[in-house]
Amino acid sequence: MRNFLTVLNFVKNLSVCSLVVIASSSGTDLFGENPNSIAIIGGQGDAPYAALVRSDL
Amino acid sequence: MELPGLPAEGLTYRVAMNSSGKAIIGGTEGLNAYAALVSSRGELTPIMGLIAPGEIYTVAIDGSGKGIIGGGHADSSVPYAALISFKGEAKSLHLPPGGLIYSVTFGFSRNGIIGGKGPLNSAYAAFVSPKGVVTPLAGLPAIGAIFWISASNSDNILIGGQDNDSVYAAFVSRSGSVKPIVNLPQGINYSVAINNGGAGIMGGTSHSQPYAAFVSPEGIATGIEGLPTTEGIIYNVAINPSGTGLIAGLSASRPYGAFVAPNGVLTPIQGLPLGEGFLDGIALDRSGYALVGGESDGGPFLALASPDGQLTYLDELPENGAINSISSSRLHQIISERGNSEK
Repeated sequence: MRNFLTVLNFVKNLSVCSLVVIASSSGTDLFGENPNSIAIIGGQGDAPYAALVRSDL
Repeated sequence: MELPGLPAEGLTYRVAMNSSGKAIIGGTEGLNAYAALVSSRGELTPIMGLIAPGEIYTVAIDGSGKGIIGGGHADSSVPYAALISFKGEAKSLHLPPGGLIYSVTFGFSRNGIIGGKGPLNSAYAAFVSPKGVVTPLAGLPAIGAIFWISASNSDNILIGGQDNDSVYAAFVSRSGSVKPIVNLPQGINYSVAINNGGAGIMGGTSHSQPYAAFVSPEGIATGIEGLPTTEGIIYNVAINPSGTGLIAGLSASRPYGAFVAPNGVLTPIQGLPLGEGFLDGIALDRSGYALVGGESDGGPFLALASPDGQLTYLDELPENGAINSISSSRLHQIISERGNSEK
């Protein structure tokens, strides 16, 4: 299940990348990893907060 | 929306991700310390047996997925640090009887480095062997603290903090010798960063205003000019392989950030939220792009910053709170891959 919180498109020098902040994703490679998880963020909402930032390419 | 399985109470102080996309997070669960490994698919493996009550202020993860965490219990001045196996098992380290651990990282192959405050308000830093043997460094400030440790892949290590009432930074050699940077001003260094070429950057506050400086591989500090002259703090700094820096913090109680070219020219980040708050989490990529996050008027924000200082926001974060930490070692992949695919 992919649970996208948001989708971002940015345009720079004719390249277009999409980033999504996700809670979890089943998209994996042969090693069980998700190669599109490019960052992790942490902080605080109403409770402890952490999310992965994933490219949606 | 948080990763599934996070505690119901507390906060996340720090996150770290390795080049495989494996991550570690640290913070609190109520009054107790909390840390967890995070798979690249977003699955949490909570780490058991941490300090309680207490907090985890700092985390790091190496290329194999092993971690190191640090923190303590501030009220009773009890430091805490542990090595974390790739399965999520904690091995507590033997630390001095007083103080706190503010920063951890990996350097010199598989060795950890920890830093913070020791007994009697002394600065403290130590090497940690893969088996958990702690070897304190000598020659640190008798009164002060180490707030940040940065190690590059080529084993350059820069530590930063405070020496009495002055900004403090020093290189640390593989043998453990400490070489302080001289002629630093009154103030505090909250963050340092160093790249594979040995070029460093540091940031904090001096005379209640934002302070930042480049540090050459020879140990010469050059203050970055053009920073705001209002009250403020640089909480976080980064430097990429080309020597471009990124500084983040607050100015006049509002989020502030700027890219810094190797020649010291500032490119302020434009379009930051105007509310009361700060910019704290930063992840600077070799491409010059960065993810930045913080708090404005009690709410979190997260954005992609392009090298010209323009922001593109990611939305639908929690309504309240803050982004305290960002880690990415893969941002260049989507930029380079996408760029190549469109050629």
